[in-house]
Amino acid sequence: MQAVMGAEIKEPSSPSSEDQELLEKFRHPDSRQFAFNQIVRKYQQKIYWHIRKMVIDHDDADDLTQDVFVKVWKNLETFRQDSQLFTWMYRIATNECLTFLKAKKRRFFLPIHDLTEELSVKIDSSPAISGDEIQLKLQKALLRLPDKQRVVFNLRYYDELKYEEISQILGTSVGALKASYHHAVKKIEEFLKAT
Amino acid sequence: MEDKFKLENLPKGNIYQVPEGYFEKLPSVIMQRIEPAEPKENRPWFSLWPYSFRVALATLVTGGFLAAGIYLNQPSASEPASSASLAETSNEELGEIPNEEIMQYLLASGQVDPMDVAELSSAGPDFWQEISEEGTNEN
Repeated sequence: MQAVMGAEIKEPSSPSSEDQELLEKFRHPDSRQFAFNQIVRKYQQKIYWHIRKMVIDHDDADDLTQDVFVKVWKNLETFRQDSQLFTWMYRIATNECLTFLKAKKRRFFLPIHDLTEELSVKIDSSPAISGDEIQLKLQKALLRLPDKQRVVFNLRYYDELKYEEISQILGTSVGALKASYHHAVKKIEEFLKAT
Repeated sequence: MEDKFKLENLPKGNIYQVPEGYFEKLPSVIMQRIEPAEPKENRPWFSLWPYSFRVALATLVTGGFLAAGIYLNQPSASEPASSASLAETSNEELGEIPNEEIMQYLLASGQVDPMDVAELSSAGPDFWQEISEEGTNEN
């Protein structure tokens, strides 16, 4: 990987051979639904968990996951195959999450801090959330990050994606992503030390 | 002693849970949401024929059924007509016969008292319509 003044050359990427086969089947009307069902089964968990970590609540994550796959269904024919299929779907999922969170803040006239508190309470009280104290604290620390920085952190830390892949998802340069992740880690460590 | 907390030392864990069987059901829920948008996916085999051919074939089949229905409902020479069709025919024919001729027939057949002839001759079209309807109901 060559890096010059923060502008880095992206590695060429395209769908895996398995995904290309599924996309080929999707293009034929007779096998379209079968292929799409396979795509859903293959990627549903990645997409769901990515969304769930952003919106916290299962019902919200369920609705958004369904919406994402409906959008994938409607737009898959326009997928240009100049990126991995999963990064394209992550991009849709991320946009859905950010739009959802923005709408939620606007709908309830909540400043960012209030939504953070609301989601923190959900982490403490929801029966569908359980874990070590330190894991719960980590999730609450994450809620204090700006939404887009939280996406960067989740994709790098939990999903272990390469910066190049995150760059394709978010349309942000690799250098900016590295800086964003570095700052996110520092903020989280400081929060966990303080509590 | 400085409490040097490092994120990398923390084991990664997932604190979130989903309802039991959630990922087994999710694909069918999603497929149900996309299927209404594509009803033409389950098109019948004859939908592959050209539209004009399908229209012509449908017309031929409908015409054939109509012709067969008319042919099969025609009474044969040896078969008496049904009471309903007889009533319809008699009503139509009765309308074509002048009232004077009907009165003469009724007088000759004894169905009307000669004393009523004066009234019958002055009766309007409603009366004759009533008579013909009564005849139909009796049948």
